[in-house]
Amino acid sequence: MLGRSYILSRRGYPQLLFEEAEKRGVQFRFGSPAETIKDKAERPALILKNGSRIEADLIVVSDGTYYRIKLQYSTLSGLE
Amino acid sequence: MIAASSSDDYQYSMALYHPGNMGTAGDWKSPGDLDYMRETFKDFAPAMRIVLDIVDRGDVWKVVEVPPLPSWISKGGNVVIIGDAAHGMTP
Repeated sequence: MLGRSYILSRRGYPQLLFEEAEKRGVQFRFGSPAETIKDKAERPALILKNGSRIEADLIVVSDGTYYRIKLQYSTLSGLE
Repeated sequence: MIAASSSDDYQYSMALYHPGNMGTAGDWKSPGDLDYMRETFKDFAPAMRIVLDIVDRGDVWKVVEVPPLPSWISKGGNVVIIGDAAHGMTP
């Protein structure tokens, strides 16, 4: 089977995902680092460093190994 | 060895894994020992050795393990952790 290979631009791909997500109504907030997560049975909340609180039905943590190392497990095991 | 050219084809970068246990965790900028690199890969294919001979710049990175988490779902069940945050993978 003949195939083609494509090289995705490391810089361009996230930009593409961002633009497509915005078109579909996803809201983004940049420059708002997270402090911790409060995990309650019905509504977990993300607490930002600036003190803001964002409640959600579901929180998905996907910010790579950097945050994991900084938190040292507390994201899941230390949730209140 | 993992290699790729830059999007403008101006640079060709190679990541060469070796058992030398060098570098410092979290440090991405320290220059590597190019003589050590060439010595480490001296038994590789001739074409590769020719390429490594003309390398004039390299950084040394330490590859470390991220300890596994007990779970990827919180106790409350409404917080999940995915991707590298859940299970760091070798670059």
